[in-house]
Amino acid sequence: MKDDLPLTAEMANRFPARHAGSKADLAELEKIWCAPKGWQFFTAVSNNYIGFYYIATAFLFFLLAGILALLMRVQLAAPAQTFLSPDTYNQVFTMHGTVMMFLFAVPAVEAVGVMLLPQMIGARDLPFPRLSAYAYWIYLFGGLSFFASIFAGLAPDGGWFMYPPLTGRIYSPGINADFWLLGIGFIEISAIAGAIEFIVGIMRTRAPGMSLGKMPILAWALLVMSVMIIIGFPSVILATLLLELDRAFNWPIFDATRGGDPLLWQHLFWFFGHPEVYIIFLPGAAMLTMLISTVARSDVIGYPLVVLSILATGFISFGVWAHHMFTTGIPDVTVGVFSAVSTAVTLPAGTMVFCWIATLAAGKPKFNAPGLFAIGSVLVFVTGGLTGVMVAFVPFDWQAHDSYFIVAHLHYVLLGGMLFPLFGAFYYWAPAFSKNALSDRTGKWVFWLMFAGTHVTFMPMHIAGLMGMPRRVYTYLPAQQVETLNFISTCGAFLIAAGVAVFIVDMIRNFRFAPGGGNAGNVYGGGTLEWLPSGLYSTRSIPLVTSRQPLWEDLNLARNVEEGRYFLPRSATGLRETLMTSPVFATPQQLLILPGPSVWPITAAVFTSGFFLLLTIQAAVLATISGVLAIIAIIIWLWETDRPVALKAADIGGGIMVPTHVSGVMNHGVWATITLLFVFGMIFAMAIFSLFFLWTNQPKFWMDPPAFTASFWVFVLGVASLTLSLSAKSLLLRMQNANLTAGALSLAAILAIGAQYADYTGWQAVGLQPEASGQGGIVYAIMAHQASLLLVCLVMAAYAMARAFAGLITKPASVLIDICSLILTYTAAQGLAAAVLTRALATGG
Amino acid sequence: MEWPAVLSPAGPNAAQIAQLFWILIFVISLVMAVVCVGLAAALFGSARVRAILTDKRTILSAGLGVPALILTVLLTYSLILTRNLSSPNGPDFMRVRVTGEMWWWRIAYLDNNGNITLSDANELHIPVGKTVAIELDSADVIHSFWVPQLAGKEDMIPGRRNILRLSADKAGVYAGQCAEFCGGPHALMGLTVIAHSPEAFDDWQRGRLIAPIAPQNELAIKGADLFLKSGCAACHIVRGTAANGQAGPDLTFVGARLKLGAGILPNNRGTLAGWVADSQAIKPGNRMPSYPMLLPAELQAIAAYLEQLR
Amino acid sequence: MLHFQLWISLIGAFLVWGVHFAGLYLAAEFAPQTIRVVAPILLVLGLATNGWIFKRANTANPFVATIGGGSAVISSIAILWQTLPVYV
Repeated sequence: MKDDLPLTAEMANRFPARHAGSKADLAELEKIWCAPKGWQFFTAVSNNYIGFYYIATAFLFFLLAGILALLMRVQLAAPAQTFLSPDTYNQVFTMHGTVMMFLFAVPAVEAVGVMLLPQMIGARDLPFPRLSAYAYWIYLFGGLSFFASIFAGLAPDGGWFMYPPLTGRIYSPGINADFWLLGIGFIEISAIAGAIEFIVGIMRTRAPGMSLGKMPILAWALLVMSVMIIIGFPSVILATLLLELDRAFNWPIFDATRGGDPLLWQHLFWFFGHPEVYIIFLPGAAMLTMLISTVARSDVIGYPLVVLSILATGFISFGVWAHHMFTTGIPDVTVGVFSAVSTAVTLPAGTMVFCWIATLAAGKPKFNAPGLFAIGSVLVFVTGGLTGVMVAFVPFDWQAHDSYFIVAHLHYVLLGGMLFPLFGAFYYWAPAFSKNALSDRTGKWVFWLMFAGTHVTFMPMHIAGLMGMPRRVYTYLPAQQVETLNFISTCGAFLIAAGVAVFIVDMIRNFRFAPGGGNAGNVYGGGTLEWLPSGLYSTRSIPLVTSRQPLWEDLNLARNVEEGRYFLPRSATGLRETLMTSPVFATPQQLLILPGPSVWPITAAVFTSGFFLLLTIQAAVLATISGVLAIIAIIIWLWETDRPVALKAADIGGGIMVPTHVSGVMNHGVWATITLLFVFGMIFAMAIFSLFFLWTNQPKFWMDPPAFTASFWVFVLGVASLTLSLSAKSLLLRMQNANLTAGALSLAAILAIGAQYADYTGWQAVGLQPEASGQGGIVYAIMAHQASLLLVCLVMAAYAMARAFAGLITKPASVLIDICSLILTYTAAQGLAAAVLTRALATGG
Repeated sequence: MEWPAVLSPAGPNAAQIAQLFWILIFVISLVMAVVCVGLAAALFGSARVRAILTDKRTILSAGLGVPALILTVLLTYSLILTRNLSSPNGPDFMRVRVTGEMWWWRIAYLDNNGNITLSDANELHIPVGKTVAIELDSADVIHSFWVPQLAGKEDMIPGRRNILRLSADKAGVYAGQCAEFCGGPHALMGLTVIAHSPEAFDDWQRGRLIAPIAPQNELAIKGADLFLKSGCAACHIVRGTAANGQAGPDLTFVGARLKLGAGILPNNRGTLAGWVADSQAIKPGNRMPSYPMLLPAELQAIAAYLEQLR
Repeated sequence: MLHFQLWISLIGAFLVWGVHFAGLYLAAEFAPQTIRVVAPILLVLGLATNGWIFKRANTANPFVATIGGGSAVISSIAILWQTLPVYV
């Protein structure tokens, strides 16, 4: 079943099976999936637990950042107040933005994905449960230690956008700014881990029959969001690395006096920063779509149009970044292009809004709590969207930019596009995880308080902005005449806070986490798979999906699933497993064996966070130790996985046999690796863009590169390494010798290191130093990036050798060898590309 | 409460933007109304109306087609406006250079060859009816020059020089403020623009080309002495005296300014004394230290000296 | 064949937009003197490709047809709009 074709009618007709699954099989499923007990609870990796911790942590950060917002509103309630000192205020507003964006909004939508996605698409778990656990713990440890910096007065104070030179070594000499770079580092890791999970999970672990056109909208949004993370986050990863190099080692990448350019930061930051807004908004909009569909009890009207809108928004969002830079004096035509694209992004949003209205019109909407939140979301979001259209037009943006008008605009968009849908989602989906549903009556109170509060807070800010009140001010003067407006805003903020407080009361009274059964069930009557009866193993059997709202269409589905009449009603191998299906039509292809609870992901997370934290407080030795321990923990965790399976093929129900192990391009690990390499590729591409940008803007600081002829060894060793790593797979196939193959990979890594060393000496020979100029900074940053990849390659080669000696490499094909070979091939290729491009973008300067 | 600054323009640049604002606010109000009516019809409308709303043609025309048409017109208009507002100068314009510093504005009036004719700080004087090309520089971090009644904002970025063109069409005093977060007391980095009638501007300019007369009364003479002795001269220049510091604002005509501390305090002897005594309490984090060691009488003398620098 | 049409429609038209956008951005930012030559070429190429995608996507499968056709339309509006600033 390698071809991606729909399940044949003959096969489909075998389901639901005539015979129900046995009690013994159910008992075995329960045993296999049971959660670790007692003090071992933190070794749990199942999405039921990790998803719940994730969303609870995100909510905690929402509360913390919300408290910061209230502090700001108190300070601004009247002119010239001294409730917060300017320094404190600057830390508070920086943390409010950073925490809301990075520690609440992005993790929250990822958390919703971790919690809901597997069940929603009929998988037993995400494809890499231990990676989810690692990503979660690193987010928790990193997030908490980052937030704690504010209690020591060490929190970053340069704004969430961190523009240099203000955040550079001269104007921010303390470690405050380093804490920002640290906090972002954590979220970069967990966001990318999550994105990889979602891409592989959505493309490969959907219930049989759930073709792309039948996926729940949230799955579409998470897919697009993940791809956007893969494209967008590398830019901010690079930017943070470059700024840290600037701060720690005085590499003048953003210093205009030495051949750098502060505008480069803005390009890199907003190339990530604006898509980031849609990374948050798309899952929000998708939750909203699903809420609307359920409260109206109608399938989404214009489902393909909604998918189209999500895709269009995802793409176009990468062409709007410079609308944050309309006032920086970039050329007219450039500004115009970005203005046009910013205008174009409203078209999919408009289409989506009218699909929502159509869906509401198609059914008989109920005005329950999720319904109110859904309708409220639409109104708030459209208001923010329309002011967004206004600021897309350049001349008006010249006035509105960096004024309170923008503060109003962005909060309308984010509250309407993400926060209201999320609260609606809390009410809608809580019964799937809790013994009791939340109180619908209380939910209405929460809604009205938050809805009223939103308008009272943010509507006056439009006017304050037009009156000339800039953003990020710790106070204003009576002469500015904005005190009445600000006072009203402060009152509104407390209304929102009251709504959130009522929500917390509701949670305390009603929410009782009940993973794996005993939950309140489908209170609002949703039609998608997450509402099937479930245990920790998810559903008893994995249904055959024939429509977008399977539970509405087939009223017997829940019973048949529960009786084990569909796919995988038992564990074939005695291990945790789920179905792998084809990308388009979701036809079963393979049994995916999932790893179970382990102490190593959390251990690795502790030491990874330790590494970054210790580095931030400049304890280099301890940091190195922590880093090494993190790598050891990851190796132990990996060592337990990818074992040869005795059973070669398994019956997944209805007599359909699928293999238990697949290597090569259809393997999930290979998919994940390719996704990860895309991240590296984007980092590299952005680095080359940075070099190009400085080259064209600061040519007088440029120096000639090493001649191509003098770079003989760079290319010879590089090509040798590339060839060797490319041939690893066929080597294993032909020679059937794991030791030899692992040895070849190690040699390839060493050759690549040789090439890198030759490159380094070449630049040294022409006298380019990293502190000397922007060119030096970027060229050495690219080399440093390459060096860190080479370190990874070395560790991987050593790991492959160890596995080979331990006899743990499967033959004739091995996923481990596939993955090592891919990463090495990429690294060698990147080294060659870097050598060529750094030389090419330096000539004629 | 007055009409918001952005919407009470005092020059053609801001006026065109205000006009764009009114067009935009009209259009988006209309769209908002359509969405609200659509939503209400979806929730409470008759079956027939709801059937229309669920029609794919309705979705496509309301969500995609009509917005595309409206936005094409608006976009074209805004692009033309963008070009007009940033197009090069005519032959007759005045050159000024404003440099953003943490947390004040250095101002230099230039002749046509770019030589500085006059230096000042925190207060920009312009003649009504003449295009002023403001060269925007930064001495440290990114700042942004924003006087909403006259024009949109433009950033001051180290290593670049942006040029903002504006003019005033009526005499008056227009408040401005730094709009790009620049750390510390960014909130208190104000600016005053004073537009004079052309004749008044010429008078003002002539007055500024000669150094102020030496202090006359005893108190001010004592103040001038203290000014030099207390270290003020290390950072401030008062032309025609030994004070020649370059780090801080030019104080040659400080007494003539409407505001003190970069647009934040009224300017009189009391506020001058208060500022010198404890500027850190008024504008925490600014680069001028407080002078708690000065006695009240000494502060009065310095204030008297500064006040008569006009 | 359906696969081809699906992937083309899912990403094809937006890749057209992306390439058009990148070309225009790079020309405007780094080689402004070439923009009046580059812009019309990019526009014609983009519109032609989108037209082809629109035709290919027009299949019996409504999902593919809507997404393919729709993305070709949105992509075309976007590239028309982003060409405007070169000329006004």
